Amino acid sequence: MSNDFEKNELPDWLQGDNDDESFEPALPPADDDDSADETPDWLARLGNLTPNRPAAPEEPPATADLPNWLFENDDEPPTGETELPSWLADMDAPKTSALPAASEPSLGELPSDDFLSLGDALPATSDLEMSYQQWQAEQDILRNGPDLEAEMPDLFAGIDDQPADVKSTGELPDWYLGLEELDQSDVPDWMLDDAPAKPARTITDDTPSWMAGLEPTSPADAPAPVSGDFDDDFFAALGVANTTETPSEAPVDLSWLDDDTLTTATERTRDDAKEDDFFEALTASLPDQPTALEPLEDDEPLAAEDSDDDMSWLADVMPQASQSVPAREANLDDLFAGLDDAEAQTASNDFEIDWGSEPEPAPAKPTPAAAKVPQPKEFDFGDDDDPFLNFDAPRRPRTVDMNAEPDWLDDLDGSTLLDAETRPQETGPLLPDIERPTLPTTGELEQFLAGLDGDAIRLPQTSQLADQSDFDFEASFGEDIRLPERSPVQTDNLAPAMPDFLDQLGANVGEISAGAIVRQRKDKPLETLDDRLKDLHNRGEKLRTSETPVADAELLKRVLPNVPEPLAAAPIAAGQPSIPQALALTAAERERISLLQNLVRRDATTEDADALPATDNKKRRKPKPAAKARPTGKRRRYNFDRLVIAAALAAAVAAPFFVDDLRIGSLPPATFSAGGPGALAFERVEALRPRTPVLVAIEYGPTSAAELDPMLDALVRHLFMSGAHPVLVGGNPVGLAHAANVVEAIANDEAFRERAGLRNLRSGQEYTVVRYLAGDLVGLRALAENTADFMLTDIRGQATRLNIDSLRDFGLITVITDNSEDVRNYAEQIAPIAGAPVVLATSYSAGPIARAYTGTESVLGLLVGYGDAYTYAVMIGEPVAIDATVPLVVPPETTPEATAQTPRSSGAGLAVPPALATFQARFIDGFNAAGDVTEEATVEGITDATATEPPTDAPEASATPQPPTTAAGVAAQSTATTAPTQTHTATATLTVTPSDTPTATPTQTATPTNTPTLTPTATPTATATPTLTPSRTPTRTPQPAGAPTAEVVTGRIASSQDAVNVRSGPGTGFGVSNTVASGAQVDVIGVNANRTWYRIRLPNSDAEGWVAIQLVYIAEGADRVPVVETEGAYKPQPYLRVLAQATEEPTSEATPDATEESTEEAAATATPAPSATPLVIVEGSSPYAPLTPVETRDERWYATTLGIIASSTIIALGAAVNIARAVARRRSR
Amino acid sequence: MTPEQLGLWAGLVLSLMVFSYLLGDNVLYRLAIFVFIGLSAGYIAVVTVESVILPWVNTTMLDVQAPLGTRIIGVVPLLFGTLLLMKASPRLGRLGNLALAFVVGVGTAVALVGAITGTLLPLASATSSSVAVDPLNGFLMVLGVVCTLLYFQYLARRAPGGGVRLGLVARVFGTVGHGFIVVTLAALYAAAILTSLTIFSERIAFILSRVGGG
Repeated sequence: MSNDFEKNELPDWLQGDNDDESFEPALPPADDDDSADETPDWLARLGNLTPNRPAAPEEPPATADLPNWLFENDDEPPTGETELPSWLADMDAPKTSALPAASEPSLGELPSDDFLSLGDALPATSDLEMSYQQWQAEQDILRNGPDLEAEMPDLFAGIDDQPADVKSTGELPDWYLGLEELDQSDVPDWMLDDAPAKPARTITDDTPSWMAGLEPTSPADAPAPVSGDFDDDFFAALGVANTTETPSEAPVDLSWLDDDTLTTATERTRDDAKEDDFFEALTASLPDQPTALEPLEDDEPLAAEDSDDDMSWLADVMPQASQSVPAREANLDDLFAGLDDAEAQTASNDFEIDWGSEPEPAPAKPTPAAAKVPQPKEFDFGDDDDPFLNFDAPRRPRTVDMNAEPDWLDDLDGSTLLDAETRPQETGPLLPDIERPTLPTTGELEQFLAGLDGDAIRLPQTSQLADQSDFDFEASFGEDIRLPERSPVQTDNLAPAMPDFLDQLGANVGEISAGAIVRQRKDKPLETLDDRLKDLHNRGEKLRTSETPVADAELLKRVLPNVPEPLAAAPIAAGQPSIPQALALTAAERERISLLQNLVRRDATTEDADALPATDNKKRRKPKPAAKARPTGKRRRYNFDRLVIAAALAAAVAAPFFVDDLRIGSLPPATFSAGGPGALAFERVEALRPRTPVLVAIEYGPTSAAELDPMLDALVRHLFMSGAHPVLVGGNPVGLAHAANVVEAIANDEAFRERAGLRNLRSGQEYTVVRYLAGDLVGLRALAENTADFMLTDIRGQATRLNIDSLRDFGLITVITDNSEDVRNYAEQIAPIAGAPVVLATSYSAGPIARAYTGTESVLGLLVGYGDAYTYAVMIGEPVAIDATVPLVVPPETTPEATAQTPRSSGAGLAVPPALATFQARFIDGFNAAGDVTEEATVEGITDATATEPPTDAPEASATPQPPTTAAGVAAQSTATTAPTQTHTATATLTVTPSDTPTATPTQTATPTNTPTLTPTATPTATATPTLTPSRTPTRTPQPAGAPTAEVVTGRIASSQDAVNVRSGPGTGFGVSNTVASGAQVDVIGVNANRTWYRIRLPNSDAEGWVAIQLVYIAEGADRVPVVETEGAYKPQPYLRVLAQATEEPTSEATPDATEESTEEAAATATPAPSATPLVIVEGSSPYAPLTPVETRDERWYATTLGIIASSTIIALGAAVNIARAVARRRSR
Repeated sequence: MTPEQLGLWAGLVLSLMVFSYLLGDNVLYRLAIFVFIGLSAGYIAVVTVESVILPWVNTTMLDVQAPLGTRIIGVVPLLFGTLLLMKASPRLGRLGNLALAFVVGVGTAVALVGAITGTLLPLASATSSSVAVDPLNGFLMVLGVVCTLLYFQYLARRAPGGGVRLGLVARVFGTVGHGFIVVTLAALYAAAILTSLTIFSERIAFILSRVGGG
C-alpha cells in the first residue's frame, strides 16, 4: 500500500469539505513522458551550453558534453546511452534558436563536423583576442556551469541580511514564510492544547542498542542543541542539508527517528505552543543525532562559494525545504496528526516498541516515477509508507522497526515540489494517492529532476512570501487538500455559529442519521418499552434495512467502526429550529445542535416524511389537507362566555346613564389638594404672564381621545383665560390634527370667548399648531435643540408668526400623553433643556410612570386621567353638579395667621390651594350650581395677607375707591384700606349679592366699579358693599417688598444642580438676579401667595430674591413663613385687559393706579359678610359664566366607577370559577 | 343633515362595527379597521409631506439664499430616506442598512444621554431628597429601589448537586423586590383598566346620546 489514503483515515481537521471519494492526485504523474521537456529553464540552459564548449582533449568525449557536477556524486559516470535518462539525452540537442539545426551526435560518438562547426557560431569562444586567462575562465564557466548565484541574484540577495533583521519564528526563516507577524491566534488549535505538559522523556534511559553503533563522528556525547538557530534545525530535521558536506555518502540513516522520539518531540512542541518549535524539540529530543543531522550554520546552505563546484545541495535544499514550503507544511500536517495519535497510543500502552528487532523486510515498491529513472539507491517504503497507518489503529499493537526509516520521512522526502503561489489552485489532494517521485538524497539529482514536473520546480519567490504578512499558517496545512466535491450539505437552517469542521464532519457521515449513532448504545429490552417506543423501534427497523445505501454502510464502517449498521436518516418535520436558536445556549450546546441538524439533513428527509408509515398516529399530526371551501351555511361558533362578560360590562357602564340609583360613588373633587401635583399644575398655568408662549405637546391619538380630550379642553381654556399663547406640537400627526380640531372648537365657542373676554381666537394669532415631530425620540431631541426650526411652519406647512428661539422662551411646557414612553422621552429630552417648568397630563395608564417624574426640579405638575380633567374643568368654571359633600366655601378663619399659612380645609377635608382661592376670587361665578352654597365664593387669598398686615400701614396705602357705575351695586365708598393695593384690570361684571347675614366687621371691600378693586383690609369697615376685584392677582394688602417678618426661618438649598437661580420675582418670567449654591443655608423671609416661591436672603449678603419652593428645604418652621408680595408682581394679562379695555400697570407702589376704562357695568351689591363667614355672595351672571356644559360628564364618571366595580366582580368570578373547576377536576381524578 | 351630524352618525356606525369584534373576527370589524388605518396612513403621509419634507426642502435645498453648506446638508436626509426606500427591494435592501444604522445609532445615543440626564440623575436626586423630607416614604422608596435591583442579580454559587442558589441576603431582599415589582405591575395593569373603562364609558355615552337623539 503506497499512499493509498482513504478519506476516513485522515484526521478530521485535514478533511475538507469534500466527500469520501478517492483523492485526486496532487500532481501530475512524475513519470510524465514530457518531463524532459519540462526541465527547468536553468537546467535546460546548462544543457544547452554544453555543445558550445570545445571538446576537451583530456576528457572523454562521451562525457564531455555533460556537466561535471552531474557526475560527481557517482563513483562512475554513466558510460552508456542507455543509462542516461532521456532528458539528459535531450540536453545534448542544441535547443538554442541561434544554433542551426544539425545532426545531433549520439552519446559515445564523436561529434560530426557539422556539429563541431557550430562552435564557429559562438563568438565568445572564437574571440581570438581573448587572453588565455579569459578563455580559461570562460571554459571554467562552460565546464562547471554558470554561477547559480549569479543566475539568481534576486533570490539570494536578501537572504543573508534578512535573518538578522526579522524575528525568528522557528526553523523556517521568517522572511521565508512571511510569518513575522504571526501571533498566538494563528497557531492551530491543536498547538494550544492546555493539557499539562508532560516531562520530557529521558532519552538516555531508553537509548536503544543501535545507538551504540553510530559512527564516531556523530555527536553522541553532546546533547542536541535545544535552542539555537532554528533555521538550521529545520534543515537538519529534514535530513537533507548535509548533502553539501557529504555529497557522496550513502543515504542518511534516519532510523533514529523512531516514534518515541516523535512523541517526545510532540510533547516538547506542545510545551512551547508554537508549531515552529517542533523541529527544535525534535532536535533536542534526539539522543544521538547522526552527523548528517547536525545543525548547520546559518549561512551554510547559502555558502555557494564553498561549493561552487557542487550545486547539488541547492537541488536538495531548495526544492524541499524552501521552494515548496507550503507543500511541505501540508505533509508536516500529516505528521502532526500522526503524532497526536501516537501520543495517545503511547499513553494507552497499546503501542509496543520493539527496539531490538530487525526491520521487517518490506518488498520494494518503486513509485512509477522512480521506475523510469535510474535509481541507484531506492528507499523502501514498504507497506507502512502510509503515515496514518502508524497511528489510526490504537487497538492494534504493532512492532516498529526502529532501524527502518520512519514513514513520515517518506512524506517529507517525497513532498511534491510545487509553486507556492499556484499550488492550491492547480493541485488536487496533496497527501493521498500521490505518486511522488522518490526524492534522492545524494547524487541523484538528475534522476530526481527527471521524474519531476518541470513547471513545478521553481525557485522560491522569497519576496512574495516575505510580503505575505498575513500568512495563515494554519490554512497552509489544510488548503492543499482538495477533496472531490460532493453535493453540498443543506445548511440553510443551521446555526450560523456552527464551525466549519462540524459541517465537514456532517458531510463525512453522509446519510448516517443521529439515530444511528444513538443506536450503537445498548438499548433497553424491547419488552420493557412502552407502546410508543415500540412503535418507534419498529419504524427504525423498517428504515434501517431499506433505505441505507451500501456505499454509505461501507463508509460508516470506516468512519464509525463501532456502529454495526447504519440507519437511514430519520424523517422529521420541516421547519425552523426556532427553539434552539431562541434559547440561550452555550457554545458547546450550539455545536451539538448544529451537528445534529447537519446529521439529520432535513432537506433530504422532509419530502419522505409523509411517505413513512405513520405508526404513531396519536402523536403524529396528519398532514394538513388542502384548503377546502368552507361549507356554506356552517355556523360560526361564538364564545358565549366572552359575549356574556362583554354584555355585563356594557350594561354596568351604561346603567348610570339611565338609573340614578346606580350612580355610585362621588364625583371627583372640585379642587386639587393644596401642594399636590394637580394644584401645582393649576398654579403654573395661573402664573403665566400674558402672551407667554406655552408649548402643548399632543402625544395621544384618537384612541385615547375619550380620556384626554377633556384634559386638553380644560388646559387650553385655562391657557386662553390666562392670556397665554398655546403652541401645539406632537409626535402623532393624527393626534395633533385631532387636537387642532379640539382647540379650534374652543376658539369657535363664542360663549367661552365672551365669558373669557376674548374677542378672537385665531389659529396662528392666538394659538398655533406647528408641525408634528417626525422621528420620535430623535425628533424630540431635535425640537429641544433646534426649536426655532420647528416653529417656522405649522401643520399645514404655512409659515407661523412665532418668534421662538429655544425652549427657554416658553413659559410652560405641558405634555398630554397616553404613553409612558412619551412621558419618559419628554422628561429626558425636553425637561433638562427647557428651563421652563413642565406639566404632565397623562392618561391613567401612563400615570404611574409620570408620577415618578413629578416633583423633580423640572417636572412640577401632574394631571392624571379623567378625574383630574374633571377637577380641572371645575376649577376653571365648568358647570358641574357640585357634590353637596364637597363644600366650596371655606369656613371662616378665626385665626388670621393660621389662615394665611395653611391651606384651607373644607368641611369635608378638602384642601383648597391658594391658587384656587385666587381663581375663585377672579371667577367667582364659576360655581353656580344649585343651592345657596354655589352662590358663594371665597377670597381667601385676599384675607390672608390682610389678616397679617398691621393696620398701621393703612394711611400709606389707601386705595382709590372707584365709584360705582351701576345702580345695582352699592358703591363701596368706604374702602378704608390700610395697605397698598394693586389695581388690576378686570372686565368682570360682577353682581355681588349681599349675604343675608350682614356682618359688622366685613373684612373685605368690594367696589362695584368697572374696575373692581378688592381691597382687603384689616380694619373693619362699615361699608356694606364690598368691592370684588376679579383680577388675576387679587388685590390684597401685601407687605412691602422684602419687609422683614416677625420670624425668619432658616432653610437650605436642595438641588441636584450645583447652584440654583435666584430671581427677582416669584416666577420663571422674572430675571435671574443671582445664584446660590446648592446646600447653602439661607434665610427664608417670605413666600408668595401661591406658595410656590420662597423669598430668601442670600447667605453672607443682604441681597434677596426668589427661589422656587421645591428647591428650598426647611426642616422646621415652613408653616411660619409669611406671605409676602414683591415688586413687579404679575402683570395684568392683556387678554383680560383687552376685554376690560383697560391698561393697568403693576402696582408696586402703594397707591393703585386705576386708570381703566369701564365699558361694562358692574353691578355689585355687597353686603357685609357675616363675621364668621367672610363670603362673597355672587348673584346673577358673571363674566365667566359656565362654559359649554358637557351633558354626560357626570354620568361618564359614574359609568366608569360602576365599570370598575363590574370589572373587578367579573375578574373575581372568573378566578373563582377557574379555581372551582380545577378543584372539581382534581377530585374527579 | 349637516356634515357634523353626518360625521357623528358615521362615528356611531364605526363604533358599532368595532364592537362587533365581540362576535369574532368579521368583515365589519375589518372594514372599520381598514378605514382607520387607511385614513391614518393617508393623513400621515400628507402631513409628513406638507409639514416635514416640503419645509425642509424649501429651507435648504431650494433656498437660493442659503449657503452652500446648508443646501448640501439638505440633501442628506433625502439621501438617507431614499436609501431606506431600498429596503423594499430584496436585492437593494442592503443599501438601506446604512440609513437604518444611522437612525438606530443616533436614537440610541440620544436615548442614552437622555436617560442619564433626565431619568437617572433626577430620580436619584428626588429619591435621596425624599428621605429627608419624608423619612418613611423615602425609606420605602430606597428600599424598593435596592430590593428591586437585588432581585435582578443572578450571581450565585453553584451547589455540588448542580443547582444554583442565591445567598440568604440576596434571597430575602430579592423577595422584597419581587413584591415591589408585583405591586408596580399591578398598578400599571389597574391603570390600564381604568383607561380602558374611561374610553369605554365615553363610547357608551356617545352611542347613547346618538341613539337618544342627542
